[in-house]
Amino acid sequence: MALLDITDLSLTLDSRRLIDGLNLILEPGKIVGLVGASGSGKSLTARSIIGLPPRGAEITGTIMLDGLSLLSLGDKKLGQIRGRDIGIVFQDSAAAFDPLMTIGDHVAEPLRWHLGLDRKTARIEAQRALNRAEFPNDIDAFSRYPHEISGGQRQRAMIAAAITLSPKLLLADEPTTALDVTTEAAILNLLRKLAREDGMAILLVSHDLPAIATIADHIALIETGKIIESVGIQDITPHRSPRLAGLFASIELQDSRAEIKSGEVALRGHSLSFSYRDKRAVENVSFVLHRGECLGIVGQSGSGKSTLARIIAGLSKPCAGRIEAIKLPCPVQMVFQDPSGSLNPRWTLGQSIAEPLHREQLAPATRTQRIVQALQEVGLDASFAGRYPHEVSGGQAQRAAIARAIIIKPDIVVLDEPVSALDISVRSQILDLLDGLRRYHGLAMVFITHDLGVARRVADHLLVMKDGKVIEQGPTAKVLAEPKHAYTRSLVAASPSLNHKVFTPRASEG
Amino acid sequence: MLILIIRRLVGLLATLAVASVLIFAMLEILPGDPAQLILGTDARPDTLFALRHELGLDQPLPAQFLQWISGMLVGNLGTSHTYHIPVAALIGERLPVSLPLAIASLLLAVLFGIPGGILAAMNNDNWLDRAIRMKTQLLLAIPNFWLAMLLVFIFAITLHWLPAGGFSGWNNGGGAVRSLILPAIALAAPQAAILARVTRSALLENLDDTYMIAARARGLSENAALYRHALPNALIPVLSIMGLQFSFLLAGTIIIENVFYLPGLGRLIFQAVNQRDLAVVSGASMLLIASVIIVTFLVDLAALAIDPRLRRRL
Repeated sequence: MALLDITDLSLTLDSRRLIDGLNLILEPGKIVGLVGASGSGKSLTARSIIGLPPRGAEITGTIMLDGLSLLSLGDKKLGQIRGRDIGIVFQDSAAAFDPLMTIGDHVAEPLRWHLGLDRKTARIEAQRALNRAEFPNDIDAFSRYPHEISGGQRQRAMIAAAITLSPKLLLADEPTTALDVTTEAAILNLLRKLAREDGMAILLVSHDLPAIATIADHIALIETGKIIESVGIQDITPHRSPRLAGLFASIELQDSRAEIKSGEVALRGHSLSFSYRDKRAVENVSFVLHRGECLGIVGQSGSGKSTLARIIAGLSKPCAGRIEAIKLPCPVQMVFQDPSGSLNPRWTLGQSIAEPLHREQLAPATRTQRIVQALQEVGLDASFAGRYPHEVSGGQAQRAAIARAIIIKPDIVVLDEPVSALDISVRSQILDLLDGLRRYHGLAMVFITHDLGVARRVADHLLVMKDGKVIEQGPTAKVLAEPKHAYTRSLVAASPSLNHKVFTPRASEG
Repeated sequence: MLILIIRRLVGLLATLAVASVLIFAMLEILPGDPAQLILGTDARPDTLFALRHELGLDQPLPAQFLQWISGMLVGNLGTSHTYHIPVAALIGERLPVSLPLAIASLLLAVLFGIPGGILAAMNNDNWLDRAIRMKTQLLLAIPNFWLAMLLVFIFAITLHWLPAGGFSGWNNGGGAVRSLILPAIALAAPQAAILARVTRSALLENLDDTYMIAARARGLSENAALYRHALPNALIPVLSIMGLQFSFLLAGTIIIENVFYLPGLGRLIFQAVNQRDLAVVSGASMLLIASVIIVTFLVDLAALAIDPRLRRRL
């Protein structure tokens, strides 16, 4: 019998139907991946299961957990099930902890609340859960506060808090999106272990198809609140699940980029170093960037890649070394990870896009023309100039941010994780857009990413950074195919999106 | 942690030093010669000269400042020329009225404001919340001297429950308490309203945060999640408001003590200003400033105790 059986679930909020007749089944010990773009209703589904939808939401349908109808339970009864029979792990571990409470007390809380254990016994049990979640042994969780540990450690602690009472069902809502590749792989591994060894049923909600594909037994694709495809991981074929197969193919790393003749040198970095509060963030880094070339900089968070990006963009001054540009002044523009953070919420997109033009004194008509032209180049129509950031999707906002970067026709654009906040389907459109711009304008790009799959797709050359140093560099294909340094090898091994076995979803068999 | 406290302590002393220089400078800038003020306009030049010498006014400014500040450190705030007794003794006489009044008002404000805010947040947008919000709005809008007169009219003149003003001294404990009740309420009312509104909005801000959803997901009931997680977080902004309120309460006594004829610090300052009794004004101001700075320091310490993010690991 199924552990969780959702039939005809619908959720309406402010008279918008966000989940629309959704059906889903979870078996014990199995992992179901729920994939979809943001706004497709996947997180809402998880929150409906645990009975914590946003305020004012109206829910219909049935959710049966082990023969118990969850939607007909009162708040008190539901409280007994939450945390005991159902655990949930959220995406943003920094926000999911009470900042005033130690990590350990969070993990102990369900034990004290549900079982009424005293502080001491609860702590012993909590430590057991922390160990199970592979929370580092040498950190005393009961004296550490959420802000004092890393994102990966917080994510493990959150999993520990969710599994202290060995629930039958674990809901994981984008548990790895905020993490870097190595940590992501470890967390996914942990989830798999919980399913296989403890027989937990896991609903893994994510927009990250490669991540889901590495551990899920079954994948359900959700769109506008409906499951449109639901298949076993072995059965993803263009025939049986055309949409999923298509999505896999779009991330599939076809090296279809037309060879761009590497032109003249646009920028040269000579043994650049940068220290921040006595800590060497970038150490003795040299590189060459040609016109029309894309230089990928990869590494984990804290490897110094963003600092290097800021130096290249001229936002930070290197402590030692120098940047040499063929043409001076060398126009450089930057695109950031989070478009909603880099666009002023009180400005229209048009105002933001036109900002770099402030040095050129333009007639209003010319200015408008330049804005429209920039919008067109990034695939948006002129009407977007009048909209505000909150009125457009994440992908559209990032396009606007790119339009702002190219409006002064710079020689070099530095992009710091420009697609990691975006949905997988949007991601590949943005990458296509960047490719086109590069080819058309001969733009040189510096592309910072922690995702080797993305790096492989866009970068001609790769710098692999660790602890502020470049430990390996060379043509992308070569670095990824025959990584010389052990660290590069571990990055490659930990990248689900590079793993060809997962990524060739038996298209030939279909 | 200890270093952090010491650092704040050094900051506190520095602020006090700056404040003392400012007060001294302000008194120097003020037009008028204290000796002339004391002796009157028809004083003979030689008596004036003798008094100037006695008061140290003929010495250079830095020397005067040093004398003033070192006197202050040992509790010698100078002598009041209207009362002809040491300022310290004068203040010491008035503090037993003003300090209990300020503390009682703060307690009242906390006792009604914070639970009111919690109640409003828990009943977000239903009749109770709206009633509380309307009441706080009203209390904020009414000037407290008017509220004081209203209270006197109802509870003293009409109902004869409490005295309309005056203070019988602490020898008569019950009488003293009775005469402080109405002033304390008048002082506390707007502060309670502020606290209620701040508590309510701080709580509501936290109520739908991810960590609150996570707490409910661990099984906690709505109320348990609110008391265990949202409230401590909401109290951080409330605490800093309370620190500010204490200084408002001290200043508020100037008006309220006049309405109720209470022989407190506020009334002393008011009269001293009218009579150009500079020694009293500077001594009392220094005391008020010192107490505000110390309260701010205590609030900082309390925030350190509550919020681990402020404590840096050393």
